[in-house]
Amino acid sequence: MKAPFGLALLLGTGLTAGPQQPTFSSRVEAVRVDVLVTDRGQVVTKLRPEDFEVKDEGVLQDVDLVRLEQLPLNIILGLDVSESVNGERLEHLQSAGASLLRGLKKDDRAALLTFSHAVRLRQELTSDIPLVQETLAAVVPSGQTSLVDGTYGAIALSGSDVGRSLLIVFSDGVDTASFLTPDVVLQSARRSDVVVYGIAMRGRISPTFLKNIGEVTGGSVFEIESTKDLSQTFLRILEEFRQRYLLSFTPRGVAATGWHKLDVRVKGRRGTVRARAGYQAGG
Amino acid sequence: MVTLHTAIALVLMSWTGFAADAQDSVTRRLDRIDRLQQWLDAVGQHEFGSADDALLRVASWDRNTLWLVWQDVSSVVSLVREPSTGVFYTPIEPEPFSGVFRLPQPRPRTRVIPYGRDDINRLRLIAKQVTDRGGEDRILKRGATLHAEIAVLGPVLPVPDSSRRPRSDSIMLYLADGQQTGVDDASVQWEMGRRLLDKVKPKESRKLGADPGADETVRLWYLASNLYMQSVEQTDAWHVERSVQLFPQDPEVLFVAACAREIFSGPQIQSVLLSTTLSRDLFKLYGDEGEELRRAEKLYRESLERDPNRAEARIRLGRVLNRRGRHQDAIVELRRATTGTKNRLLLYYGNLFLGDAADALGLAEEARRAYQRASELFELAQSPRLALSAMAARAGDRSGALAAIEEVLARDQPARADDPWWSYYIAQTRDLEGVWTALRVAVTAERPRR
Repeated sequence: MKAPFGLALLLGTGLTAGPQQPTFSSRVEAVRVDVLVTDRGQVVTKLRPEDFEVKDEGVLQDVDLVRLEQLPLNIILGLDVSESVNGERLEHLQSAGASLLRGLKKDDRAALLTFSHAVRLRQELTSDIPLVQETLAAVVPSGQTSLVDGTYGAIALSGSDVGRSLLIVFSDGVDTASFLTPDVVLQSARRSDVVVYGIAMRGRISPTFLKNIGEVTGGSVFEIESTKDLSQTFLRILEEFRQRYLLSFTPRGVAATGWHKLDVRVKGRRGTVRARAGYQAGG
Repeated sequence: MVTLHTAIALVLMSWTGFAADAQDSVTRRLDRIDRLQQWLDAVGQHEFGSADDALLRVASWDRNTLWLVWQDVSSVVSLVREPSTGVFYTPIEPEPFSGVFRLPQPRPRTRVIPYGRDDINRLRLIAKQVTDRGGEDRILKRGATLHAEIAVLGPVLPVPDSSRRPRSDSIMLYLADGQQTGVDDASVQWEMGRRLLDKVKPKESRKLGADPGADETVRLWYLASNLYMQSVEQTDAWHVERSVQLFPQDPEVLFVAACAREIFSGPQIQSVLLSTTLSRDLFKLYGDEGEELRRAEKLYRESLERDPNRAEARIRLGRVLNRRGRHQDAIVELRRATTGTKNRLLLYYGNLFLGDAADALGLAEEARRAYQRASELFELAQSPRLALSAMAARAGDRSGALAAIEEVLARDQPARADDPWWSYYIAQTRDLEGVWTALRVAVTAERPRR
């Protein structure tokens, strides 16, 4: 049975935690929801499965919590290397990428995809992190910006049944060259379980697309004043991503296909939950 | 400064155009007729298509000099057409730039040019010389083409003294990747060309005054200049408007103007309109995305009414309709266009946009077929593959989504030519050289009368 795009198959690998130690049969489709909980800006850690309440189309679900320390990360860098990212901006971007890559652990993997007018997969997911660093260091900016196309390409390539996937998209400007429309990419993102964090330069034009894609995937967008802030932002995203929870549930009492709206809350305490808005089930 | 080849340049015209302080005419009148003679000689001697001495000489003149030349050419045209003329006025055009933006200096008014008696006698001699050399229209058209060639060669012409560089009250915004990267004076050369051509009065015209819209060479001049500007991603909304004012029935001019409006609706220009810190008044000739798409649709339709076989106009109309959310209308145009052309490039665009429209309407099979045809026409093109991949992804076919794009995204050095989508906004200029050649042939063919 082929896994639908965006729905990961969690097998009985013992990755789940909690008192019940649930076992998934090999044919069960589980939904994974990557969740960040904050309280007054501070990330809340050490929550247990019973602290969460997940409603799928309004129907309460039994939630399990995946032990994150046993799950490697797949970090996909989707970077704008258009003409405007040159000189100092490029140096900052390369330096930020290097800082982030240095922060990865042994089993983590990374990939590099760049976009100008063209989208290029420079390095597919690999655990050879120095190779990704070298590839990033060799990038030469040129052309216009295909932010939407590039983000789509990165989402499509990020699908992995192993580990958790984080896509960091950086762009210093507006999309000037994409063929795909934001709506098409948002629809595709709904079927993916990658979490997308966008980084945009603060300006008069709001980074609407990155905000929307962050919202749909449970990620976020950071608007920075200067590319000098990139390293700090990259590391902040990585740290935040490591502090998230990965919830898992097998949908019960809901339709097998179509868009499912998710509502994730923490019980019995104050906290802001950031998780993907829903998921697309079935064909 | 970003070069014109890698950046969009947006020309914002002042309502006064390149009008310099007319008081200069008083201090300069002693040598102005000599300068006029130099200009006429250059216009006569210039070999079109070459950066010869005549072109370089005129290219080095500042805007005040050009303004005086323009006044004096107008005086000569008046003398040729009405030899008894005795009083000459500064030829302020009927507000060609009104509603764009207001400069702080007082509005120049038509005033009498303070020619001395000797000046007028010399002008009469020049008027006779102009008549003998083939008439004033020939000079006006040759002059306009000379100035157009200076504008084209502008970025590579030597500028020995920046203070003498022709300057304009219009400004040029340099844009790169959707961001404003600089501001400079716009070249006055295009404006000089337009003003010269505004005086053209073809023999066959029944109008009392000038009638440039009845002249084929003027039409070619506007076609060539618009296409050139689009080819170097330079936009000048007034230039486009003037083209349509003069040739409202010409399918080629309407098509080129529609392309310009479609460009204005695009993210390169719209992002600057949304983000600029300059006064919004500067951009009054540019509408928002919706308004520019509406204008583009109207112009494409007008072009097609006059030439229904213009497949490129129909394909672009289809894209504009699609962007306006009128997918059903778009698909009708795109189906018709893709069956009416064998041009590989146009078929690529047609199928790409047909796929988009069909996808929006939920016609998945038709969309897939169209994208596949586009992909077969340009095997390395990313756009149709991305679209096919996104369709597979939305259908839950992850491996299909990956397979559609893996090959093209893994290419080491994608070339611009790999995906014509990347050059869509300049694709209509691919026969630019042919149009310029036609213009040069037409201007050169206007032989002096014997």
